[in-house]
Amino acid sequence: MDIQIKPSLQISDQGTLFDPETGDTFTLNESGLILIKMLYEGKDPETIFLSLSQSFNLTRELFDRIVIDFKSMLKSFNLLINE
Amino acid sequence: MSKKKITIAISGLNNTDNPGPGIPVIRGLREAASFEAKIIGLAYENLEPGAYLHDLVDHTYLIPYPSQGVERMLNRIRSIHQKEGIDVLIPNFDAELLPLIKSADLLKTEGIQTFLPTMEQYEERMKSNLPQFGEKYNVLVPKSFPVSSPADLTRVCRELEAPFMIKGKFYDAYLAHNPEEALGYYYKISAKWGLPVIVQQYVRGTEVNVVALGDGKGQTIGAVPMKKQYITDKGKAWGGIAIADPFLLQLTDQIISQTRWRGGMELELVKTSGGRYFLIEINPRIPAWVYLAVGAGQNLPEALVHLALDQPVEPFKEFKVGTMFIRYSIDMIVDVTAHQRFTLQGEL
Repeated sequence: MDIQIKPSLQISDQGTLFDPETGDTFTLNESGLILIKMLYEGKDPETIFLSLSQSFNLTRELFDRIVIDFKSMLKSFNLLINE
Repeated sequence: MSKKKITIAISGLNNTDNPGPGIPVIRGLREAASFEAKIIGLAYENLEPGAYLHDLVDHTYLIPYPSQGVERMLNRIRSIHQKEGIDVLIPNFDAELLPLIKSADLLKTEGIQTFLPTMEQYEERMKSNLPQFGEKYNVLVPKSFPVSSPADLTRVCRELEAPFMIKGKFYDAYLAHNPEEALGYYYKISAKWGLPVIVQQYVRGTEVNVVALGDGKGQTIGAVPMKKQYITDKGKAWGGIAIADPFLLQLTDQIISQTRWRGGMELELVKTSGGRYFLIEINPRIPAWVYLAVGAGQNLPEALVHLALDQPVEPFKEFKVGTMFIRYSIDMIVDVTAHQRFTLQGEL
């Protein structure tokens, strides 16, 4: 699944996401922060799964569902490059 | 080497919950790197807080409202000029802008420089002319109509879809959910600001503003867009954040370049959830939140003073995105004798 996050987003290690174009700030939980950082770095879903499954005991099916939900949330907040 | 001293007269010292831009402009001037400002406050009321802020304002004079006669107001400014030697005058009160634009050449011959929009620029962006402005410059503007009678208002409300914004020609804007509520606001606003009252189609979305400075030749000297984060019951930003919205910056450049805007300005827009931007107002002066621009790296009041003095100004290239402002109020303790002196002698 291709998820292209706006390159202008600013992600802090404390778990906040700032969109400088809109001034919106979002808070992320631990897994959300890891996920968005990896997406931001352009990692593919396979690599992200391998990394997250070790820390969070994820099945592939659950991971895919989480990523779909996450993408839909990012899209609703206009945080993705227009598709 | 000591910095050059410039005497700057400034109005709009009403730093209330609906603040005038005077004090924020002065704070910018106090931080000017290129000159040392002597600040002369011009107050219309003896309780304008700025008059008592002695660390910001060196000397304040009471002046008559323009509605009491333009010549009377000019004579008062002349008498202050004789005492203080005003180099630059920065008016910040909407109702005084028009008479001062008309008097700018006269003031210049007397040694007082201003940097105000031209008459044409001032008039074509008026709230009552905004739809024509939008058409001329290809900017999306909500439907709006000037009304001068209750019958007009009722007719216009029938043509629009509720809710409506009911606006005064200079200040004040209220959200009316039906024609009856609109009529109440019509009477309230017309009693305070006169006619016409403007009825505008309400646009739902995020309020975003831009503070900008045009050099009068089509160039943007500086511009900082801001998203309102905390809005008062009067619709004013109590908190805001500088944003890097490319559309807002491009729109500002477009408007300044097409109109050859001269002076400070504020663009007020609403961004809809669909990503459309509606221009709801253009204020022909620096807004009260200008200190955000100063804090973000663009000292627009300082640049305006240089433009007024016909000195070259380099356009600002950037600002610090994410800079925020949070407004606050404070109770000053004032000796009654200072208030009495200001009231009786007209200066403090």
